[in-house]
Amino acid sequence: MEAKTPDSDDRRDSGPVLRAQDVDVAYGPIRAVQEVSITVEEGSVTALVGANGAGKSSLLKALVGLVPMRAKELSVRGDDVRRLGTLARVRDLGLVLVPEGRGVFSGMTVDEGLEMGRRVGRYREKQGHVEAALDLEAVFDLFPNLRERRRQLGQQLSGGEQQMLAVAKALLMAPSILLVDEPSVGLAPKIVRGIFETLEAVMNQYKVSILLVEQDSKLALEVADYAYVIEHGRVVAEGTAEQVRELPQLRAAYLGEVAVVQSPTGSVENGTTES
Amino acid sequence: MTVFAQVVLNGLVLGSEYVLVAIGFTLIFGVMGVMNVAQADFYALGPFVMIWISVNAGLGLALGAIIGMLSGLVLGVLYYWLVLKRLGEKDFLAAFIASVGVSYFIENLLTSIVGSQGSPVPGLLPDTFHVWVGLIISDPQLLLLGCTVVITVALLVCLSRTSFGRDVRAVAESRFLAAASGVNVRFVMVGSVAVASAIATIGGVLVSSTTLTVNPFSGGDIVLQMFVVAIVAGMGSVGGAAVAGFGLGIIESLTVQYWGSSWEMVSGLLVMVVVLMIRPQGLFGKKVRIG
Repeated sequence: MEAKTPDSDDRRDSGPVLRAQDVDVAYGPIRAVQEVSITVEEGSVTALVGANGAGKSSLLKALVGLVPMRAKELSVRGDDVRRLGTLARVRDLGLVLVPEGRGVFSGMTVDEGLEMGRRVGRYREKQGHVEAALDLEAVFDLFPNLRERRRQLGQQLSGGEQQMLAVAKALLMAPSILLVDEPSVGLAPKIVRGIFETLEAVMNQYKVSILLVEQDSKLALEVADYAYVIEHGRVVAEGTAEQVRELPQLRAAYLGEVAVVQSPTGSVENGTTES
Repeated sequence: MTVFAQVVLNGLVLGSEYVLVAIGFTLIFGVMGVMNVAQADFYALGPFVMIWISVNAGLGLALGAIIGMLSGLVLGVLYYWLVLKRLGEKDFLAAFIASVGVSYFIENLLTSIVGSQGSPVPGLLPDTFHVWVGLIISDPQLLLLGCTVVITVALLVCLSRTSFGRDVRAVAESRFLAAASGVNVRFVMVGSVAVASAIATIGGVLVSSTTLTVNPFSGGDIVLQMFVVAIVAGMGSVGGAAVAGFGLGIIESLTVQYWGSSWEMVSGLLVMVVVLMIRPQGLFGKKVRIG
């Protein structure tokens, strides 16, 4: 059976799939995210780039309701989600997170993990949120390795396979928007490239909107349409991927993860290296 | 030899009691990360509910037994909403101390209602004995032993084969990841506490049917064994708790026979210390908290 995603007619009129206004996330006195506003357009890849610890992952977790947040607005296709718990955000609104560090249960087989994703997809079909969720065959076509490892436990997979499983599971959940947190961490460059190619294929084939958090800004900007640069919990720059790529801060970052300090006069100089 | 085999058989019957409190205790620990001391007191509540329904209210033994056994489901849900939901999801230590408080509360509430003397319990089955190749076992003991094996196997199958069991394993491994995967984490927690409490009340009813007496401290009396079994098995290991529970029963039974009844508790604790010295994670302990 050919899996389908809703085509553009089914969507609400071309508004953004996700709109967040003035998001604040605090862990006790530590303010991880401050007054961040982002918009993800339907069918686009939006990247959040910036150094480690800038608050990007906190923002993603907050969007799914896994850490508490305050926001002036947080909506998915026009529906306010601020009062909803994680379960409703995931199942009813299709805010699907692929967590950092491989969202894979070590004690579960590949099949069991995929079935968890499938269950959410089936629920979304039944509720009429999506016309048809992806089925297992479509996912195995995207990730042929997983087909051979169906009975293996999560902990027996390689890092790359774990990341593939996490993405595959998320796709089965028929997301309105896929929140992908640091997919490249700890993986060999070749594997990372494979995963990004698959993400792009998914984008083109299924028109899934993606919000991508990635430390490797070069990589992220290759696949993104639009990007936000986040530093110390705030958005310091935004623009199309081409515009952001040309920003002096980012160019410096390419050359070796050097944090950039904005001096009072406005000129840019290299500061201390962040760990 | 027959004496030895009889002592081992008695140990299995004694161990059933430990298994039925410990598997629920370890299940709650696996899912919520809470050491639920009050688990043992649900074990005492079951027979009291049965007595109230069948003797005090005069509604018959069968109905009393069924309600007594299943009262754990209701009590567990209540306990979750009143205590564990508020404390257990965030603060492990607070929930542990609260469960000690609930334990005292239940014991003293029961004492104020029925007094601290033992109450007579109507037996579920007549106390007839079977002799089988020289081994003696009574009907109620056979029922207890059989139900313990069935319940343990059923719980293990549920954990490994059903979608609820898969959700339980997911929450046990990572509450965060489970929530992100669309698991109804709250339902899994309520469900696990209810199931664990029901296993305890079922255990209480079955055991009281072999001893024909129960008192408000019947639960408190086996808290220590509950901890020993769960820790020796490895916290969170349901199958391990079953093996360790029967094992502890046999060890205690052998100790009483060949060493003296005053050493009964000592032998179990000795085993625990030795196991923890060799395998700090317990005999069946894994990185994953349940299975």
